Amino acid sequence: MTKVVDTSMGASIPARPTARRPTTDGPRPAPGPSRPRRWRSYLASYLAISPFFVLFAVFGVFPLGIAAYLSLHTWDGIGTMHFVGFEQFHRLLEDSQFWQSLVTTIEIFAMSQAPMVVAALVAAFVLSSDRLRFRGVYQTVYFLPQVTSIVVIAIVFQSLFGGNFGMINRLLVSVGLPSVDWMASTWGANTMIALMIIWRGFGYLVIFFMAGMATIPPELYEAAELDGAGGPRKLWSITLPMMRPTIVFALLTGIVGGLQVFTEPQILGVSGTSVPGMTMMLLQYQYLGQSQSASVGADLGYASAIGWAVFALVTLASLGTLLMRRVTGHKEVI
Amino acid sequence: MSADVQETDRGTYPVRKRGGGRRPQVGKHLVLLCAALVSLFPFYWLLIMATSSSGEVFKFPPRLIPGTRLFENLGKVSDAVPLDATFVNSLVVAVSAVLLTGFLCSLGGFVFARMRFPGRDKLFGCVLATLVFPTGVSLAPSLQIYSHLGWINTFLPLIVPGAASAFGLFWMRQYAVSAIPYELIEAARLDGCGLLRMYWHVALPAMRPAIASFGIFTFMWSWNDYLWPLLVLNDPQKYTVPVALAQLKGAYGNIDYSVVTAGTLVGAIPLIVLFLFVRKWIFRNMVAGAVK
Repeated sequence: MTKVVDTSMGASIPARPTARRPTTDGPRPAPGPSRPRRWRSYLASYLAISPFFVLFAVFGVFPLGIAAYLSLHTWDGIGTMHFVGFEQFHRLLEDSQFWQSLVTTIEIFAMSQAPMVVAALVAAFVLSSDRLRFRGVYQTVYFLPQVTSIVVIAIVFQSLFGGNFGMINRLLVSVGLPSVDWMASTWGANTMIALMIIWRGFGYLVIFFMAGMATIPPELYEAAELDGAGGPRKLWSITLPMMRPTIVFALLTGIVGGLQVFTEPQILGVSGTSVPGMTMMLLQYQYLGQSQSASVGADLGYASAIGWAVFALVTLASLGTLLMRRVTGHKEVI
Repeated sequence: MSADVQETDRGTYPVRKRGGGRRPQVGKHLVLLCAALVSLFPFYWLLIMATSSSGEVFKFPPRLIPGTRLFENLGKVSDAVPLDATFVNSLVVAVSAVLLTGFLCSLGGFVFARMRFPGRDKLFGCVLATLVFPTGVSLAPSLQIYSHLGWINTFLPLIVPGAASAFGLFWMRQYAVSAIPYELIEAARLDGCGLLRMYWHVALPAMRPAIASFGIFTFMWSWNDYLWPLLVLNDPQKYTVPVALAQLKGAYGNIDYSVVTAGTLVGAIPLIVLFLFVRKWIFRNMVAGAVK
């Protein structure tokens, strides 16, 4: 059980990987190989990891340096590049569309993650019941949306929500309610996008939480049953506290994807200067000069500045989650 | 850790034992069934629309059983996008990505787990540290790098950069640590095996489950990736399936939604079929990779 916490931390806070050194170093070979032979074996290791590290340096690390460089310039990607200092970040602060995209990104994140985690916890709890039939069938059905492309999902959801002829609006009208133009208002667009994210991510979290629940000792539940606890009580008093590390890990991994929502609003046709559904990633895309429908001029410097804002948001959210865990974690059993 | 998750009498997951005999679990099934219906409904709706005519799509009340117009609709799809070519493209990209990523990450993971060399832990730490940088940071610079390399409108940006996956290296190293005992390495070394032969004859067989599960995930990520293909591919003949579907929606979305949905249905099927074949494997290894 401790291992659960340990590795998940390793995955999310890469700053402490050296802590594992003692476990990975095996027994040293009894007679140490001679110096030249040892260097030959080192050389083989370096050569073996070199292809990975060449790619990693060129496509993983180098772009980060360029991103810092670009964000101090203005450049349409074709003409000459002009150094502007921190002007792009200053522009960021005064760009109301940027602030609105920041709010939209956070709103969509909150509207999707919170209900999804709660629903997945309940479903995982029920699915973990003893002697439940069709468990595998339920798991498979819940996971199906996860393997479906977001493009496919957006196309289907748009036909359900879209226009006056969408299913949802027809239903609303048929029970006497006004039809809703979902993409015209911020809350409508946020709701639609959050629903897509929930629908797609639910099954993944269910499987994930079931694995976490499987590590809870059954004795705890037996003791609670002797004390007369029912299902909801057990979920609240045993499962949830024991699941805290798993939930935190799920949140941490959800932050990276959940704050970089792009495909859903892009397929729904959000572009240019429109505000509903304009997330930070999609706003950045407008400035890359690749979108035919973008009404703003390409500026790779400004796009990079937005990129750093995404990074700051992801980092803050991750730190906040970890802090929350530390503050509320005093009762932690593990 | 993974052993007690996997091996129980009741399938993949150990379950809470309850006292008492069999009770009908109607309430539980009711809850689970509702969630299942919600999960399935969009697929059902997709099927209905894809088999209807354009007039029927937005009729109310909607039709409840699939129609017969699927192939007619599919015929119109090829007017807008070459769907068959995009399938081949997606397959080429996904398979290449799986092979290259699988090779580099398993070799790297094995070396980082079982070889000793100066700076090993620092290098590994550097790779992990880049996990904190989201894709969003390097969008513009990466695009510039690809264009300088002349990679725009080729599949290379979709295959090569992702092969140096920090997550993949971490995953493989974790597995190699638990699956390859030092004794095996020493024995191979005494037999005069060099590093590559050790990788091929010792590490590769031992790491097969990790490589296969990581390969499946890489395939699905690659197949469903939308952002990068959208950014680097401009030639419709080079499109991957998600980009082609987005293009199809742009071309037909306001004219005939049944055509869009017909293409979408066909585009969604391959991964669903793949998933149904490997689902047990996914459930087990997704969990092992994440929780372990």
